[in-house]
Amino acid sequence: MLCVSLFLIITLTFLMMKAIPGDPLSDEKALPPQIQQALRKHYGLNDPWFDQYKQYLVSAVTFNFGPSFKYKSRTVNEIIMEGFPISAILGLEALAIALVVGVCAGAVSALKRGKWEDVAFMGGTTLAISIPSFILATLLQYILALKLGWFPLARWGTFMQTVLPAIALAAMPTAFIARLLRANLLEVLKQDFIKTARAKGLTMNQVIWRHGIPNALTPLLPFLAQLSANILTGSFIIEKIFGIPGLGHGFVVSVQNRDYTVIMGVTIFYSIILLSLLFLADILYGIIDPRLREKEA
Amino acid sequence: MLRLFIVSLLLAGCSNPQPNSFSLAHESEPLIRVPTGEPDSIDPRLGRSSNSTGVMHLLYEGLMRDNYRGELVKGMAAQYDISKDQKTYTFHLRDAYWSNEDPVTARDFAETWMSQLDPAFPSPNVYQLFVIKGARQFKEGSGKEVGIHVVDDRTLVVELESPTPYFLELLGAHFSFPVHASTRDGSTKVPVGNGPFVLKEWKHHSNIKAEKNKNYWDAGEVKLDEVEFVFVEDNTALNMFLAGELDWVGSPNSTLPNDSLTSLEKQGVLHSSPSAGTQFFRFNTANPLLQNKKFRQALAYAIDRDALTQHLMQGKQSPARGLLPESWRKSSREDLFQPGKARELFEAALEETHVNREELKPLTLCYPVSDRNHRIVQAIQQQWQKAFGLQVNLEQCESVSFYERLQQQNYDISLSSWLADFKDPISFLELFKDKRSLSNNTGWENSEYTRLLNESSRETDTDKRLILLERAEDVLLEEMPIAPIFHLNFLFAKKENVHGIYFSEMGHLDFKYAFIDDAGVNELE
Repeated sequence: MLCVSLFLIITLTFLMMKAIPGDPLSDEKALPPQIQQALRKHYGLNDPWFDQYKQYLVSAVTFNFGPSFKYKSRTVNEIIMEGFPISAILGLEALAIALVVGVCAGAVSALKRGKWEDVAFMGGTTLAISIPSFILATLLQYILALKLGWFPLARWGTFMQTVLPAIALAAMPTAFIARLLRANLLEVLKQDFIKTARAKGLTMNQVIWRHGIPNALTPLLPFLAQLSANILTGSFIIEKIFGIPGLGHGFVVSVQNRDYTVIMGVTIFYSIILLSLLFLADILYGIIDPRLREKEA
Repeated sequence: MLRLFIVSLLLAGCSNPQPNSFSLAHESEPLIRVPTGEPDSIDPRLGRSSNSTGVMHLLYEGLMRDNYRGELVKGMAAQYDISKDQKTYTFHLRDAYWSNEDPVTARDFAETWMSQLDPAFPSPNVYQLFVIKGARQFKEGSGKEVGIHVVDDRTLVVELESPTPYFLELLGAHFSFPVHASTRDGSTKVPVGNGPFVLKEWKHHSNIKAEKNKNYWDAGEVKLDEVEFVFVEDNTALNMFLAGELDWVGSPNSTLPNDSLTSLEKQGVLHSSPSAGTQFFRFNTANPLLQNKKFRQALAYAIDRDALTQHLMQGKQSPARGLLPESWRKSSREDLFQPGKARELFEAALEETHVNREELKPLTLCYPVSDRNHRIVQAIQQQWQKAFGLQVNLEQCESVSFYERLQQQNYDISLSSWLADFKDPISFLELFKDKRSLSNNTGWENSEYTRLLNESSRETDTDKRLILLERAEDVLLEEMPIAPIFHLNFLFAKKENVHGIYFSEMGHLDFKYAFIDDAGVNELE
């Protein structure tokens, strides 16, 4: 199934990539035809489309995507290997923030339902969902970096430089996690086994942490898998605003440059991560919630 | 465990502060930081983007170079002789060394150029070397002899196809820089340079650092220890400049947001520098209406360039009176905004093309997507609507799609700009030499125009040649396959203590003579 999905993704990406106007050599300062021809030949752009397609399929299997059209001294593998760890570190940090803050906020909201804490948290999450990440990023940059000078404005290299982009990236997932967890927890707390646990003499805190939150988190797993894939592979806009040399920025720029090998290489790489995480979520789903296994049986 | 993780992250943050993040702390350090974008290559034979040329001018030097006043002076050449027929140049190289202490020889130049001329080598700029005898044929695989001769280690002779008054200018440009043998044979990825600086660090999509090249022949003149190019987008670059993290922001490789200009000007840090660039409309002469000369002239004469400059550009760009930058012409041209004449020409054009005003179909104006371009075309759309009741539909295109549409002549009117590769009128005028010219894209050609350009290429007297080229521009502006709008100025802000950076009209910064002086010295001695 994974291989079929990957094959379909490669095919569709190749077709769309070839359908958009222009190629890696398009420029306002047009090159003389003989130079264009020499370059097209060098980069294999004159080969029949089927040969080019076949080449990308082979590269997916061997995971060797060849040189970038745009950045002449670099291979696509180098671009992925340099960019991905940066996007992944930023993503992990954002994911940690989203999970910790989201779960805590969701739990507090559920337990204090209807009280001011609930209203405040829910108001906050609505705001976090509504504000686009680039606006939040710019605001954080302006207030915390430019005006107060607490954090560096941009660039990558130290922990302090990761804080603002991680917060900007985490805001929306945090809000989603908080809202989903709140709704799930309210539902779980109504269940009979919670009453049983309470009747057995467990404190409310024990019930919440041992039974409530794990059960409320289970339906979040598919969302978390999707979120992890999105967040780990980098965000174009956040990386652009903060001058972070991650893969998310590189991917969008490769489309603008019509850098065919990078487009295909990064798409395949992203797809493998996304499909693997979704597959993992399915497995985890079964492990955490035995009812699913029983149903399937 | 989680608590431990959070605490350790916070501690890591506290123990690892970013030294240059918050203040003007590096003001007196001999280091300049400038924003730009990731170069496509720093090999002069391969790079094509303006991000690349900026770095190449740090790391390499050609036979000629610009000094801090923008005058062409000798670089690697200690002296040169030009034959009477202006077709043979003999260069005597100075005693210069590469950053790894190898001597720079005539062979380095010859082999670099020949490697570009190798038919299999993917060099996008090699056509600039086609002025050399036999170069074009060699690249196309049909020739065996090229007019590049190494007499000895210090003497290089170059034969040209025909007299080329701008040949020395070409030798100062990045595509003529020599490349060390270790880069040519691929034995190193870290380039060995012969320029004022040498590559120290290149973190892809992050930054490039270059430090002073101690083996540079004129190292005594180089004041800076380091130059850093930081790859950040325009708004971030501006914020970093305001926070003191950058010493320069804006052109050539980043754009100042329009709404920041007034405040930067008030702070006294905004500067402008003329560019060898012009923004203009192309008219597609395949369109039946735009085929009519009077119709094209009417559109061109109806554009109020002064109003555009004042209202949209805060007076920072110069209204264009022609395609060539004003300072490149000996004689001045009259203002192109002539509303009365425009209306007369418009009526005459309708009569000639037998089109009723009511039957006029809307024209499509396409332009590369950008906020600035959008403002310009909107304003001109209104000016044409007001002047003639002409309806123009605006279509913005992503840049690569726009270039494709230009090449396929799939537009009625397009907003274009051109930045010269070298300082000579021919680098503008050759665009429209004939229909086959690569970036013409208007379908227009004129035998008189072609004749004048051909004649200028045979003319060895500089003044006479310039007159021929100016006459050619007059023909172009009489025919109006294009309507010039602005001569572009580079806008940038720099810290007050940064001096001596030469801003080339062709759009690169030269840091050879740059220095930092907190006392505010403005002039180079």
